[in-house]
Amino acid sequence: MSRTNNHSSDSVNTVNEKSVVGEKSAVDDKTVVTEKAVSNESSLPKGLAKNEYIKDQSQYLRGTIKQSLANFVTGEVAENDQQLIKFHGIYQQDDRDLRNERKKQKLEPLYSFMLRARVPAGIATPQQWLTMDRIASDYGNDTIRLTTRQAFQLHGIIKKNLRPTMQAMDKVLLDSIAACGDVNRNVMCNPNPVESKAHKEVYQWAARISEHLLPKTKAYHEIWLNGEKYQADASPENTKEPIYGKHYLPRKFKTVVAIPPYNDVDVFAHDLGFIAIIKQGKLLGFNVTVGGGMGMSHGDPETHPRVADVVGFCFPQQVLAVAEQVVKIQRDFGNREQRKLARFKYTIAKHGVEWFKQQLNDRLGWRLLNAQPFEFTSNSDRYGWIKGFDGRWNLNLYIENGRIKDEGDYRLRTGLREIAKIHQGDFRLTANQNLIIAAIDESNKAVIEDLITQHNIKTGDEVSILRRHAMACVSLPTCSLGMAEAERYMPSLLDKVEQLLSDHGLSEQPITMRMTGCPNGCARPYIAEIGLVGKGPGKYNLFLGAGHHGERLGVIYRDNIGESEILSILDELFEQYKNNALERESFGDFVVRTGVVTPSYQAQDFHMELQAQKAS
Amino acid sequence: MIANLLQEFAAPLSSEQVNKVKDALGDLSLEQVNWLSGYLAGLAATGAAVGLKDVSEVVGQAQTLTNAQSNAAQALGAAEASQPSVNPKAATNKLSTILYGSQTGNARGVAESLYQQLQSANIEARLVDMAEYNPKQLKKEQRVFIVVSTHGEGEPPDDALELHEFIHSKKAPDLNGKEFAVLSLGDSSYEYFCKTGQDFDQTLASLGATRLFERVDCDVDYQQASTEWAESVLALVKQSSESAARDTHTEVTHTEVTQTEAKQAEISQKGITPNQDDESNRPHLSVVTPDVAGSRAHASAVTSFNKFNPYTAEILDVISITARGSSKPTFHVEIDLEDSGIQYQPGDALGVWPVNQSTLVNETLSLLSFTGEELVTVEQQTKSLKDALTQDFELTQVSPGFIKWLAEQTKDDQLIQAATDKSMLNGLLANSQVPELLQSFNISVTAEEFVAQLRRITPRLYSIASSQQEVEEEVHLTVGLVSEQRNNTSRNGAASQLLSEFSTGDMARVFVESNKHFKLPDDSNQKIIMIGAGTGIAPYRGFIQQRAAQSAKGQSWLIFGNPNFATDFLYQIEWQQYLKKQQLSQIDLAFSRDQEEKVYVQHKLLEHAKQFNQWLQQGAHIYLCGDKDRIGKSVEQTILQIIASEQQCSDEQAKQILTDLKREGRYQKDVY
Repeated sequence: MSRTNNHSSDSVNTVNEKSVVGEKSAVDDKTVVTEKAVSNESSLPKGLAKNEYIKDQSQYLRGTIKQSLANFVTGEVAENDQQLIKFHGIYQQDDRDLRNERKKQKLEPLYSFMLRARVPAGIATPQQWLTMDRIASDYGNDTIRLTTRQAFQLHGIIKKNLRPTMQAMDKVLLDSIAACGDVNRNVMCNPNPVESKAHKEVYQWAARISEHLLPKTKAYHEIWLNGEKYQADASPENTKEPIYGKHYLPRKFKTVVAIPPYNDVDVFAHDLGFIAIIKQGKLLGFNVTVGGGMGMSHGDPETHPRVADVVGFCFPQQVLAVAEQVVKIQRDFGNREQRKLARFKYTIAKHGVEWFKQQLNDRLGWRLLNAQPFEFTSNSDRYGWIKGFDGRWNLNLYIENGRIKDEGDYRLRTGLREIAKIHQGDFRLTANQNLIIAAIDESNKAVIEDLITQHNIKTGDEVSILRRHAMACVSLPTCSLGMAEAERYMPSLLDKVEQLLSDHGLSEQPITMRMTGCPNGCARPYIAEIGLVGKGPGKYNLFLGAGHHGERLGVIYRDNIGESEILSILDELFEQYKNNALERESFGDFVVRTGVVTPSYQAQDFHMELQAQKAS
Repeated sequence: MIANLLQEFAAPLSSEQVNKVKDALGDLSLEQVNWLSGYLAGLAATGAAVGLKDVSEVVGQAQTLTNAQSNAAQALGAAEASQPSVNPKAATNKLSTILYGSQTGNARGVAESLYQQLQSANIEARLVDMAEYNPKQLKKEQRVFIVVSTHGEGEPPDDALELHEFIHSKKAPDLNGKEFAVLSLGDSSYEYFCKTGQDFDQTLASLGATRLFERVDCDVDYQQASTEWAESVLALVKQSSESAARDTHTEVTHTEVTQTEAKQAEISQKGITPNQDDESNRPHLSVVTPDVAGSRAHASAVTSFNKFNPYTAEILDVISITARGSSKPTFHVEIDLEDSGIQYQPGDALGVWPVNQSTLVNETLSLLSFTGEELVTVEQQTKSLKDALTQDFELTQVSPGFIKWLAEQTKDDQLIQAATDKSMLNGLLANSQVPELLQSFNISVTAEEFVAQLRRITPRLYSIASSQQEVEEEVHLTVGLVSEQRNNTSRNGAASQLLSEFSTGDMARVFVESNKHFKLPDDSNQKIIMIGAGTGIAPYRGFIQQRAAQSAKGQSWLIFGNPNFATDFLYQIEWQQYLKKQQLSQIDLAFSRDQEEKVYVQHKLLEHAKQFNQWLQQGAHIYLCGDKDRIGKSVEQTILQIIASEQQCSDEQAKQILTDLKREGRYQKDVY
């Protein structure tokens, strides 16, 4: 008992700290660790980021998670465990709408957990779909969120339901290992099944990269799956992490595989990318990209989004070695003092691309070949029915904000459940939070069409071009990082922007528009032609000038503005765009060409205060 | 005429004796004769006690009366005349014992008030809580006045259990020659109204004791009936003690009697019970029981504020402490006692006089086509009907009498049936507020007649959820909102509605009801096990505040139950803090609706049976607080089960162990 009590004390501490600190400090880029938090047993030098010591002491990601789960006095897990559970695909969250109210009620925040299931390349079987659908009801908040990184997210799972949730997933071979945390996460891949046989090969490589870079600790099985059977050979001493080592990576690491001409995965926005080079239906290999990333912090000029560099080409059989060595370079050179500056993009920025190539070549023992030519023409999805190379049908649905739920007559969740019961192919999660019902036999097409109609599911034709190119992250009330609304607010803003576009006769013009509740950039707003990044309640930073296909970052245009100002700016710009655009010139290109924004490829592109300094 | 009658009937008397009697009675008034008849009957009943050997001596005593106390006799006779049929055999000087069995403090209040009146009249008496009464003492008593309440399904208050069981057991003594009278308190909306009082009344009689006068059963507005009963007792006891006193000394003064008279007048006029601040008027105290003087529990009652003289306190804060979506909305209420001087101990209760919601009052008025300006008399005060319905009468509860009246008024078949069918009646009582019953009918009635059918409003008692060592001049309550949606209208409990809708600055009339049977152990090193569900958590917040303030070393273990963790973990943050600081050693939680099978506190107890027994054997005090049916019964059953299995004894032995614990004050219950 004393153990439980002590433990509960820890978490109580957290309750208070949390309720006192403002939103900004909720960002997990916590500061350098204090003396007090440094364990005496630690072999690490002083002055590293706090998470480094947590990892060090965690016995390969075990920590005190088991004790935290057993503590029934609180709905949260102990403070250090809050960091460790991320490696198991779980974030602790609380309903921030209720935080103050509950404090007055002498109740702790309404804690729950977000669980992210790892779906390599975003491909799930109907059985897996049905399982996620069921546990969303049994343990979650009755919705499923398709993420911008092709994963399933369940929200609102309370602590005691975590184990049952993960065990149910395990039965259909789904897991949440490394879906979050300082490791390589879910490997994304263009899920479009229509093009060629080669595409299938590409997915397989994406899945292999995902498996290859998974942590090898059995902590997940022990903690969540009643994995006593693993314990015999999985004592911490026997667990080796051949790729990561005991301290894993300094920060999260994201890998994608793109298949031109589609850049739906936003390859330039990721730490590591592979661009498939397919010629005459045959997979030749991959261009390798490194050092992209979205996240930044308001007011911290050292932080910024970065577009990845293309560093060379490798053959398919070399992909795993390349991925492993890139990860190891980040493991050894990433910044472990400041988590804010710990992403791979800062490692590349600091040491330079040439240094990186040298490192990689040295570690591989061979050189990457020169990058092969490729062309992206789109980073959005193609909606509706599309016939694949194999004669089977694929239906790309429009899912607003990736949220699978029933709402009035729009019975998306029920409809998909009914489809999953009879569907022979698979479900594919797109990088734009949409869903493809893939590999439908001709004989099944009519049945599925009927189900779509019956449940009023949108296939994309019903929604505006703008909406098809729009994306928002989860943000409030569940995400602990959110500073402003995103998913809950975006639809109403889109209504108004649609009206503006319509007023200017621009309804048919594809423009990418993305919104996030904080600068971490989950919906990749910095590569949207209209990017809105939450600054405070109802206030956003407006980014303009990104490439339509995500090939160029936007530049901050206004900071801390509300809806009316956003709309009046867009109104004016749409007017100019309508009147002055060149033929087939995208909105992003237009605002750069006409000098509305001027990319400097430096920090001032993202920090308004730096622009102001420059101007003055 | 008297002489003729004596000659005709008085066979045992010699003619000389007849003459003496004639002489003695010659110039007595009718009242004096009445009085004397009772006195003589009393002498006869207990002849040995006053040494009734010499008849002439007796008659000589009677003679002294004629020239001494006719005034007093008149006064007493007048009091007697208003009383229920008094057994004329009563008049001797006997030690009276007032025995009370109280759950919420009402019976105790009546008993204490009676005791004080006896003291004021300089009459020797004892006041004993049944909980502290050794049943074997019963056969040594001469005269017993019982004040006892009834609870739930006709059950005695916890404190009365032992005595109640004893008189119904084979050990019950022969009570021939003993005298008794019973006042029972109850609530006629329950099926077994005043059953415990009836039990005592019938069983004492069947054991041979003499009933001094008919039992009086009081409903929730017990004040008037209990005052009258106490007057009967007072008159009877005084009568006998005065005549007995005359045996040895005749200095009972006229003035004292007048004082008593005056007091009685005051009682009947204002309907108030004399307060302890009358003490200065008392010549001296007779037998002082620990219950009244010096006891810690009574420290609470020292101030001049009490049930009938409540303190008007300011509400400091009302906070909902259950989250949205809770199935059991619960409020935390903080009340300012300021400089009232009111003191309380954790475990005590706070009485709150409710005020009816204006919507409920208006609804009632309009259903009867009253304006509200009609005048009615309440306790000899004339006020508007609206005010009376707001402050003086229950609208959220109805009595069986009201249903019978309504049945007569309306000739409604259902109501007529309900008036005689117990279960139907109970269903109606449990689920109706006054306007709900009036809704379907068109009744023509005067305001006076209408209020005569209503119950007097009664204060609601709440376990206090704070310790003054922590909150000083505040008192905190944990209030469950009694609310039900019926026919699209919210029907709410009067006081809980009032409290939950209070806001800072509102005023409430409150008083402290001490509960000496729910107290922390005197030794703060002693372990405590606190078992509670719902608002039953309230006293434990007070306990832990107290223990934390005292830096108590004794370990504490809280076992709490409610429907859902996310919404109903009352005072969650505080318990977390107490755990962190180790001011609370252990907590176990039963959230019944968080999983498919219901989990209640008794299940948590069973899970920790071994530890529970260990603590018990280490001297832990066990507390039980919450709903009587859900917590009281099932948890007690589980405790018995644990004792039997862990101590490997029979069910009977386990019961005995628990009874012993109760007697030692180590097993205390506050169930409602």
